[in-house]
Parts: sequence; structure tokens; C-alpha cells
Amino acid sequence: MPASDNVGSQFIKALQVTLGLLVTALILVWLNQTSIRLYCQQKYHADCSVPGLGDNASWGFGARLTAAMDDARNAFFARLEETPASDQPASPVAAAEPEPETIVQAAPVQAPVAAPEPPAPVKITPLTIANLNPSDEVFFVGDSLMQGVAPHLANTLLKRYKINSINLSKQSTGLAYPGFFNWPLTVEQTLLANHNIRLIVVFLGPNDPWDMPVAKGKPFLRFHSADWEASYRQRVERIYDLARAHNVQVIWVGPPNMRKDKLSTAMAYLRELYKSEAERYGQLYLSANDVLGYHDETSFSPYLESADGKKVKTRVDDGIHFTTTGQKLIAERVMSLINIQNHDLTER
Amino acid sequence: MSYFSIEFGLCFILFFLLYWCLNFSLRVQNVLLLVASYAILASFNLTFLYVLLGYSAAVFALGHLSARYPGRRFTYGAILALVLGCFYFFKYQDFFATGFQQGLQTLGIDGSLPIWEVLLPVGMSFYIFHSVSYLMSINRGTLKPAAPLDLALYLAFFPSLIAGPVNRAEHLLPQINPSAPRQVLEPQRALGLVALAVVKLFLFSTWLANNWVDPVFDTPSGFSPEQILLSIYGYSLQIYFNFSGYTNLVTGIALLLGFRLPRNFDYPYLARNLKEFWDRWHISLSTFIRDYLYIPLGGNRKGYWRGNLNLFLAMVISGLWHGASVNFLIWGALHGAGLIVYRLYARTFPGPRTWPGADLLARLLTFHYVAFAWIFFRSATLEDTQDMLVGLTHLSFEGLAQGPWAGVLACLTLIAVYPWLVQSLRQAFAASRRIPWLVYPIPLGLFISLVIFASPSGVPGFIYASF
Repeated sequence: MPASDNVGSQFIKALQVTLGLLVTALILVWLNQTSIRLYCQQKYHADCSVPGLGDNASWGFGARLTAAMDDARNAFFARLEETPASDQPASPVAAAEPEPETIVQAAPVQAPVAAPEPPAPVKITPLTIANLNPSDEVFFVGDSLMQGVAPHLANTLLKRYKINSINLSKQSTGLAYPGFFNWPLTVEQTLLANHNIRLIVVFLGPNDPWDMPVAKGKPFLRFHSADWEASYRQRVERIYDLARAHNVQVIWVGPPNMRKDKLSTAMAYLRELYKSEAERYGQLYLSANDVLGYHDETSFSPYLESADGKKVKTRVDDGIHFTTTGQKLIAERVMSLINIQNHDLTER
Repeated sequence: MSYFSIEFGLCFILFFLLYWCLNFSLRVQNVLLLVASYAILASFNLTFLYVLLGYSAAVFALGHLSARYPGRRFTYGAILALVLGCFYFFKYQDFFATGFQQGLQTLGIDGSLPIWEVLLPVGMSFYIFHSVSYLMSINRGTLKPAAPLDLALYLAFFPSLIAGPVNRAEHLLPQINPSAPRQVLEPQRALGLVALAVVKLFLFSTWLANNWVDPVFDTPSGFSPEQILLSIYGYSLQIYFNFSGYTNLVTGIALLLGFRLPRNFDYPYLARNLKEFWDRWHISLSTFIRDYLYIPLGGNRKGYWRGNLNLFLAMVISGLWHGASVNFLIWGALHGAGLIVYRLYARTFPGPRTWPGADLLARLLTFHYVAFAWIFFRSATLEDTQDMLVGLTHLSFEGLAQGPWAGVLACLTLIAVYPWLVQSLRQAFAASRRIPWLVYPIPLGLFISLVIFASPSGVPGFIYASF
């Protein structure tokens, strides 16, 4: 066979494969359109739906089919796990990923958007240290930063004081995209289900500083705008309100400076926000910058230099996460804000 | 850009079409492949691209030096300097500088090594290996220096850039410059491999990590001895699913582009001893270590005990390659020691065991030794490893009966019926390839959707991409 024929037949074969790839991709996108839309929102901070396609009944059927299967699965497991006295809410993980529009409705609107300073919560004496008893539990809330730090905290609490903890930290989460993961809702359900929780430690932020959706069909709120801040503060306050309602203390850890300037500047803005909310509620706040030796709002170094000039690496190469040393340093500082009363100091 | 992301999937379909439209010219096709590989690398960080460009230039120069002065001491010296220099500078300076500092401190001396703040470029561990194979082949006279473009593509070829498999120059370079036009290789098998990768990574690996492995390894002291045991079994399966799934994915992608990558896994938990395990696990790495580390160290040519020492050293270095920490070092040493023990045993009691149950016992024993070594591999710190090991000492049947007996039993049964399972899987895979191509994408698309539906949310990570 001449080479040109060969090239031609190979090309036809390649076209057939392309068609196969396209059909497979189409089926995948058709059935997974809701997850893809949420992924797109979270990653590109925009509503990625194709104009006109959303109204198409057969296209929408794919989403409904998956949603129906999802409901069937949830109902199946809910029935399976049903206990005689079942007034407990569904597991936080299962319930944490509902449709975005339901979440926005679920989050009680306490203050009109961009209203002047909402009424301050009942003033209490600001906490200087979180007090725990040996029977109390600690609840870790956060993203991949917390995923790194929480195990060290959990280990210390358990080994030193026999205090149990619940770690629901999940990568890529924050407060900006409740359609992807809804922290206020998860906190509410976890506090309802675990009455021994007396302290929440929150550490998140880097997934949040972007334009965020408020409701389906509405334009995204611009990051840094007054509306964005009001809406974001509401979610932070929701966590504090829930904590107060359940008599739970809060340590909020502010995210540190990052390698990338834009992200770093955004973290400085979020730190101020978290700090002001912590002060408003009289709860504890700790900036990770203080732990990592960043003395201003912009400096970044993957190394922490001790007074005698020794360097230890605290950040990994992505310029966001921590090395084990970095995680331990932050965990130690958080531990220094916790006082365990009436304990028998034991190393298990 | 993750090879499992939606972005990659969409870009790949476009790239695929363009790539095959250019099939009339191998050169243009290769340029496109090179540009795509560089673009993927640059999507992580532009600096990584500059490092690879610099490294490729250095390898090109050393290739010509090797061709002119093959096998000479200074040629090998230059290659070694480049390889070790890059590894030290980008991957190990923190480990060695910290160790050095601590060592001096124990001697009461105050001092430290300089530390440059650099990022470990994505894929570096792998393209360094690729370059070693290329340069050594030239030195041994089995390969001529490649044209700059071919060499650049050989080092950057995106399917094996991020986490292998480790290519050999004599295997991949001829495919970069083939005598006949390229063709899509076994498209049905290629797409089947991608689907298999989705099952292994999205479903099995992620499920195991979320439910059995991560919580326990994060806080070992918070779990019962039996849960610790289950997490170790779980991790043994998770790392297999994760890494072999990744290999399936990139093998499938390469086939679609007309390339064959070396085989990397051959059902490792079928192994009846540690030697066989390494013939079946990360094959491209273990043969690389054999050819470029164990044999140059002297192999078994310098006597029995020196052979064992070489084996031990090769495994320890392989451990350190996985990561700069004491845990990886111990992991390598455990495998080195295990291999030596097996050698002694095979020498003392030669011949196969034929009594009933011998095969099963051998597989279970091998699996448990490998699983034991994984504890060191997975634990974040030596302290966590200690907690895991202390926990294991309190194992009891009573605890098992009240605890996760079903999971433990499932794992053991899995290893027991593994040979039969492998056979069935092969048959199922072969049957799926008999579906006519015209309708194949429909069951494939539905199958992948179903797997994703059953899987925990999120794009899974590749464990080996960080080595």
C-alpha cells in the first residue's frame, strides 16, 4: 500500500476514534452537568452554563436523571442507617453537597446585604484561652490547610489529654461556594449530633477570595465588593452564632501570606475580616503569619529562620501548604490557646 | 493540569484531532507533541519549563560528549555530576542540610549548609531517569545521539512526564522517529484502559483513602489496633489502585497517540516472594534500578555477600528517591533486607514448594511483609509510624470480632482469590473489546458515569506525582 493511502486510512481511523471520544465525552458531560457546573464555579468563579442549553428539556433530563439517582442513593442509605429513635440529621458529608440555590435559601439572612454594621452580638468577656474538660470534644473545620494541621492537634489532644476530636476538614472547601461544600450547614449538623463539642478550630481561606455565586441566575458578587463582604461575613457569623447557641468556643486561624502576590493580598483582606469577626464575638483569633515568622502582610518565605540563624522549611513548593514542620508549629500555637482543666496528664 | 481534570479531557480531544490531521508529517506532529508537553509543564509553573529546557540542553551536550568519549571516566563523571547535582539542588538539599546541621549540633559544633530556596520541578525525577537511560546507551554504544527535537520530546513526552513509567531511550526514541507513519494503536483497549483508570482512581483508591486509610494514618493513636490493621491493608490496596490506575491512564493516552509505554504493573499481589513482587511492582523503576544502580555497583559479580550489600544499597537509594525522609529510607531498607532474606532462603531451600496451600501461604506472607513496609511509606512522621506499630502489638481476635472483622476478612479473601479474580478480569476486559466500535462509546460513557456517580466527589490525586 502506498504511504499516502496509509496516511489516509490512518486519518479515517483517527476520525472514528475522535467521534468515539466525543460521544463518550458528551454522555459524561450530559450526566454530570451539575457537578461540572459546580466545579467550574469553584475553579473559574463564573457561571459556566452554555446559553440556551439550560432550557433544553432533553439536556436537562441528564441532570435530572443523575439527581434522581442521587436521591435514590441517599434515601437508600438513610433507610439503611435508620435507628428506632431517628431524629438525627443526615450525615454532614452526605448533606453537605446539595444544590446551590437551596443552600442560599437555607442560610438565614440575618442582615440585609451591605447594611451598615449589623447589631453586635450580646457582648461577652473576650476569651483569652479556650477551656476544655477531659470529656469535651474538639471539632476541626477547614480546607487542605486544616487537613495538614488537624491530625497534629488531634494527636496531641488525644495522647496528652485523652480528648477526642472530630475532623471534617476537606480540601478545596471554604465559605464562598456552598454549592460545593456548605460549612455553616455542616457545622450545624455536627454540633447537633455531637453534644460534647466545646471547641471549634477553623482554618480556611485560600479557596475563597474570588467572585462568588449567591443564587442561581444572579450575577456573581465581585470579590472585595461591599456585597461580597457582607455575604461572606454572614457565613462567618453563622458559624459563630451556631457555636454560641451550642455553648462552643471558637479558635479561628487566619491564613498566612502566600507565595503568589495576588493570593497573598487576598489573604491579608480575609485575615482582617476573620479577626474583626472573632473580636466581635469575643472569641480567639490566631494569625498563621505570627507562627511562620512573617512580620508584615506581604513577606513570604518557605523557611522560618530562628534567632540563631537556623532555617527550617515550613512551606511546601506550591507556596500555599505547609511542611510537616510548619503544620506542627501551627498546631503547637493553637494548643497554647487551649487550657485543659482537671486532667491527669498522661502520655498514651 | 491533572490528567483527570475536565480541562485536560476537553483539550485532549481537540489536540487528538489536530495531531492526527498532521499525520502527513512526522516532524510537525512531533513539534505539536513537544509544544503540548511543554504547555502542560508550564501550566504547573513556568519555571519548571525553563528547568527542563536547561536540562535538555545539558543532556544534549553530554550525549555528544558520550558519543565522542564513550565509557571514559570524565564522561561518566560529568553525567553523575549533572544527575546528582540536580537531585541535590532541587530535591534533597533540605534533607541533607537539616541532617548535616543536626549532626554538627550533636557534636557541639555550630554550623549549617547553605539552602537555596527552589521548587522541585514537576516530573524532574522521571526525566532525569530518562536522560540516564539515554546517556548510558550512548556510552555503551547501543545508541547514537538523537536530534535536538527528538531528544527534547523524549525527555518531555507528556504521558510519562509527571509520574512515569520510566522509559528507556532505546524503546521510546525509535517511536519518536518511526520508519512508517504513526497510527492510533488499539483504540478500544486504550479507552478501556482509561475507564479502568477511572474505576481504580475515582472509586477504589479514593474510597479506601477516605474510609479506611487517611483517618487512621492521620491520628493513629485514636484508633483500635484492628482499625490500624485494616488501614494498612487498605493502604496496600490504595497505593496499588492509585499508581497502577495512573499507569493505565497514561498508557491509554499514549496508545491513542501511537506510542507504547513500558509495562509497569503485573498484578503485584500475586507475588509469592519479595523478588517476584519487585518483578511485578513499578517494573519500569525496578528494572531501571537493577540496570543503572545495582549492576554498576557490581551486581552479584563480586561475590555473594557483596551482591547482597549492593542489593541492599540499591533498595535504600530507591527508598530515598521516593522522598527525602527517614521513613522512605527505612522502607527501602526493609525491602532490601527482605530481598536478602529471601535470597538466603532460596539458596538454603531451593526448588518450588508443591504442598497444598503453599502458594496461598506464600502470597499472604509476601503481602503482609509488603504491607508492613507500606506503614513507613505512608506515615507522615516517624512518630506516627511508632504509634501505628505500637497499636499493632495490641491486636486481638476479640477486638477483631467486635471491630472491623468484615473489612479485614474481605482483604484477606481478596488476596486468597486474587489469581482467579485476575483471570476473570482479563476475560471481562477481552469481552468488552468485542463490542463493535460503532456502539462502544455508549456503554463506555455510561459505565464511566456510573463509576463517577458511585465515587466520592473530587478529582483524585496521583500519589506518585510527588516523587
